[in-house]
Amino acid sequence: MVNRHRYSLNGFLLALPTILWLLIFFFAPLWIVLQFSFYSRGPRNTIITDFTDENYVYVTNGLYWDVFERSFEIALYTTLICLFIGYPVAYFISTRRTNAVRQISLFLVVLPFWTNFIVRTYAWRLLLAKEGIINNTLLRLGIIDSPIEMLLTREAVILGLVYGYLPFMILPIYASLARFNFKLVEAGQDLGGNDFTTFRKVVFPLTLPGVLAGCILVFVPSIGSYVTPDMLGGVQGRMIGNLIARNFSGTGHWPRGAATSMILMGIVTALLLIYVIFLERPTAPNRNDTMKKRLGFLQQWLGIPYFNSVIDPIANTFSQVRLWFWLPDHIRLARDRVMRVIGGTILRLTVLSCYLFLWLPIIVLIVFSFNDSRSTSTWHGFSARWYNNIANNVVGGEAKFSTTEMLEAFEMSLRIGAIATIAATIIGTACALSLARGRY
Amino acid sequence: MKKRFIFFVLLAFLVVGVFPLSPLTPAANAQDGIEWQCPEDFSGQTLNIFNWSLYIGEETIPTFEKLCDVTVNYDVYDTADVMLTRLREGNPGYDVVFMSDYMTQAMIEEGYLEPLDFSLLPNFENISEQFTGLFFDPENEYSVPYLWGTTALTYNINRVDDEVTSWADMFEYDGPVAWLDEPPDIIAIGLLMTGNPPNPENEEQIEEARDYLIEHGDNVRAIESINLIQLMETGEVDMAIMYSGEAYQLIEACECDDFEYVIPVEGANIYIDSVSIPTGARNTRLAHAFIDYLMDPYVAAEISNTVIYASPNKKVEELGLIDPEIRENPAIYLEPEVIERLFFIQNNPDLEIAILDAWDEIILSVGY
Repeated sequence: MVNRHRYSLNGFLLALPTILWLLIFFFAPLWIVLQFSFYSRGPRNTIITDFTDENYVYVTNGLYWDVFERSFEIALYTTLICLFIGYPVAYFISTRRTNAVRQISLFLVVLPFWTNFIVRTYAWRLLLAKEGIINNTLLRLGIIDSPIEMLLTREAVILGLVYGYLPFMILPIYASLARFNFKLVEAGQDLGGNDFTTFRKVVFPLTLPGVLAGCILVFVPSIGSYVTPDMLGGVQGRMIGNLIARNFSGTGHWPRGAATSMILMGIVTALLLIYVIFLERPTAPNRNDTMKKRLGFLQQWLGIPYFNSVIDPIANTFSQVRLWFWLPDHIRLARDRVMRVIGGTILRLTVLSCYLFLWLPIIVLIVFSFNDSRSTSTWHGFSARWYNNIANNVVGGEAKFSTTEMLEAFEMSLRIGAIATIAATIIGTACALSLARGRY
Repeated sequence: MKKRFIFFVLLAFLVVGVFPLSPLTPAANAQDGIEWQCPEDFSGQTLNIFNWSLYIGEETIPTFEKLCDVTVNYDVYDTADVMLTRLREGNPGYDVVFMSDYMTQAMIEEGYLEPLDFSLLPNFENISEQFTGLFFDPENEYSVPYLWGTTALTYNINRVDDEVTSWADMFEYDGPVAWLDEPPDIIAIGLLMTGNPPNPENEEQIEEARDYLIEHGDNVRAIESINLIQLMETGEVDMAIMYSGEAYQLIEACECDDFEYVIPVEGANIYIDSVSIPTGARNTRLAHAFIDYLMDPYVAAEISNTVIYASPNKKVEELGLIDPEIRENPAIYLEPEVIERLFFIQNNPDLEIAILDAWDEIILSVGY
């Protein structure tokens, strides 16, 4: 008994820094934003603190709501595209035979991420522009006659978001697949399932937690994104994050910006709650029962049929249809072999294009850093003068800032990075220990 | 930012190791002849500046840092709203701010600017009388004119078949255009088109302008501020409402005859941007020194030649320091018959909210 008391006290003390941190830096600002969302704006950026719900009425109707719907659509497409590219890539990586190849393949996915997000998004501007690299190449090859409008469209935003968040999809699915026992595939095939059935009935359901985690990790930042639509979207691709930023720093309508933020947070929180309550795999021993109970609840209250109850009847119909086309064994085997080659080729092509997609902007940046001109769309010959400027500490003229300034900024970044890492490690470790060892 | 710098610095070291360094050629210094000297010892002090983006000479800040042995923190904004909001939230520590006429007018009325001490600004005599005592600061107590320009139309002559002379040409154009993200400037154009004065007198006029702009905004692909040059350069849009300086920076950088800057027949906005000291500035003496430095003819000329805006500094004129190409351009140093078509935007606190609300609706309704 004494022991238990000590444990819970220690647990509380260990969690204290995190609790304080969240109270001060998360809940307090959130409370302020919530308050502001019920105020209204006076002249000259003043705030009138009388309670009103006009901001919520304004935001949930008309133009703002259209942007909410658009953001939701963009985030949804982003998530689906990430899933369709990310799953094959994760599958490919996890099925490599040697550990070294797996590590290198994974590293190649993560490496572009170590470059700044803004720089990478900017590279897409250079690629997608009307007189940009892609259009120029296609024109020169004679594939198109007039440039395609790609930049400043909704599609450009989706492309930028897929590019930015693809690793968030690949990594959790990879983690699921890495734990997956591939002997189960053999078992499935021994029981008569072909490749597709085995995948549908065995591999996919068992990696579903990774898929769901990936979807959440892609969808949540996508719906609230700001930089990507700002740089690639133009008028068509404007998202809710841009409106929030505009209200706070631009037009100075804090109450409206606050109400918009609260609604966005509400949507994201609701989605996360659905995930945590119904879809996340419970760790309790009577897992299946719990899952069934939760899913039954979900079905009952939200009217959403569970995945399998939709897929199974369709799949069963198909397997019955297949009986009509009875084929002799040797033809069936040959067909399966051909299908497997085709499937394997598609998988490899998907993976290859995914790597190209992830590396293209980085390659563009590196190549154009050697361009003998300020132009970022046409090649004017090789030159190392931009690096020479840095090396020679040139100030003014072509160089916008001196090397000394750059090194100072670099030093500052290192210092801030180090402090942040140390603080996060101390607070985070204490909290993790408390969660794992404390008893509540 | 961290990763970006690691990346660049690593690459830099790599390249330094691989390529022989070219001998350092001294850049032609436009500020040769500068006589300005730091009036007192400011060694080691710091000056915080807030300016429009892309609105200063390339050597201006480094030279000032060298002459006075100080550190300058140089911060920029893209739209007027950002600056107004920032100061109204409480000066976060700026010592010098740059802003346009109606903004200066608003900030003076609302008490966000310090009166200047003209005994610390001996170079003020270089400023032409034409630019002092104007509507936004009638007694000339709070501001010193910096540069002036217009907001008008830039178009790509290779893509637009007919010659563009009016705003109507832009509104009727069947191809991608971009607008400047500046509510009063664009609404003023809507007001002109609906036969109203460019400075609205009531909310009905603003609504008329709003409806006109929404109705004629189908060809808008982007509403931006700093990226307009790039959008025109890469052919993303064929026409853009731009500041004159940006338009000429575009024309100069491209070294081609593709672009033309036009002041439409209906009229356009002229602005005088000036330098002030916000209330709550920590280092007003150094701020005064900096403002005085800006009025040195050689400093002013370098700025004017870099950003391609006209300078209100008469000494610059007398010494003939402006590039002849700029000085003789009738769309930069305007002819009297052009000036007649131009108008200033005036601060109107009663209609500020109506304009911002109309703008919120416009930007969400235009485009295709």
